[in-house]
Amino acid sequence: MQAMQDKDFDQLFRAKFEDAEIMPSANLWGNIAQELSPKSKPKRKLPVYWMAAALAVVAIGVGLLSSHEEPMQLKGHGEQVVLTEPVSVPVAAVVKDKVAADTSTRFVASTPLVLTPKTKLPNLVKENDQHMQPEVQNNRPVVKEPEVIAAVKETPKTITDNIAEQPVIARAAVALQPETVAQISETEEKPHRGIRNVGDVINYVVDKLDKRENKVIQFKTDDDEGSSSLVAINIGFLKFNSKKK
Amino acid sequence: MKLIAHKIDELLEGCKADNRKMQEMLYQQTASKMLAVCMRYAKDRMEAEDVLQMGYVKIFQKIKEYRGEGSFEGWMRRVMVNTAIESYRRNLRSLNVVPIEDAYEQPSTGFDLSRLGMQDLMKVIQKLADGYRLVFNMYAIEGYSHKEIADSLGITEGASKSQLSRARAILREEIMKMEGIDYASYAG
Repeated sequence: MQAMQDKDFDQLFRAKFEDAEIMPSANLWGNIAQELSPKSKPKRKLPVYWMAAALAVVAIGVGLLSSHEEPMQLKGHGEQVVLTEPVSVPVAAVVKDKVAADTSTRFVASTPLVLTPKTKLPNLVKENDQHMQPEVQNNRPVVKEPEVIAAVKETPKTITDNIAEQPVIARAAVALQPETVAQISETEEKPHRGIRNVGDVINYVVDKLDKRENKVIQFKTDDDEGSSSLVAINIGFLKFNSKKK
Repeated sequence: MKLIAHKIDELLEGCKADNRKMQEMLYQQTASKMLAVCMRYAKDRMEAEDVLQMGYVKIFQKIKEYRGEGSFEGWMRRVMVNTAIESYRRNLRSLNVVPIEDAYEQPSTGFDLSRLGMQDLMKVIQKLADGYRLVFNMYAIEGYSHKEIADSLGITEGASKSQLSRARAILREEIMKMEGIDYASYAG
């Protein structure tokens, strides 16, 4: 009895729902059509995105380029060359000819500010007169003191020679500084070779985004020059590649 | 009738050839029926339309596999039901954990189903707990066997049977309540 009732019960439901119709929302077909064509969509969309990305990268690149060149690495090298050359001459002259004190004094004359504190320095230390320091421009001896000591340690023989020659040693010490600075600056630069200029930056970013063989945009970056030149562009319809012959 | 049948065949061929126009025509002709199926398996209209969308994408992707065995509409319905079950199982929440309700056997007299419209019955079915709703729909309306239900839902046949009888009991109770309200409103 119960089974019959269940069957009837089910049958009644079935009859009610057999021809049931409920209108779906109007936009539903659009969603289905969109889902059915995932292949054609990205093809249309991607170049637009790539173009926008490339434009953004170029815009950023131009911004970086204008600000990046200002640090002037070339000028830094130039100064070092100018400084080291004249200094090496007096040092050699002093070692070979002690008589050639005249030549050393000529060089000393070129930088009187460095000379004066150096000659008076031993006296000042002995007298430990604090009043003396302001009279003889206070800052300079204090700052240069370690350099002089460094110079003394390196070439102890020259100290015994002459007080007049001391300035030359000081000069050598001063001269050493830019050289070592130059060496440090060179060694510091080398690890950054990975991304040295804007071209590298763009290449790096594009490489991350675009895995294709022909990138959206590609720069040739020279190690010697700070500049970078456009090598290849691939924005769908627009292709350019200077590598290809 | 013959004309419609011929048109369905035509649409079928067009859909098998990935003709977007034909796909849209098939959708326009069948979507309201299919949504009625999905609604029975879903908690609300939003969920039903999600299933409908997924179901149609599947229909158009698999339409080449339809060999003309049984009616095409029946095939589409099965795809919809399977999609509903898949989405239910994906979202889920184990079938065996069904909220315990006072599902007691009700003397099945005193109500007249014919007085209730399809929308009313839809509401009652949608109010059922997920497990009850699925089993009742599949068995009572789609005509699946308990074995088929057990296999597709990953439950035992016994569980399918007990869920079905509980579902019926709850539905009867709900319908009684609705009729009571109806009578009351008529009296008032």
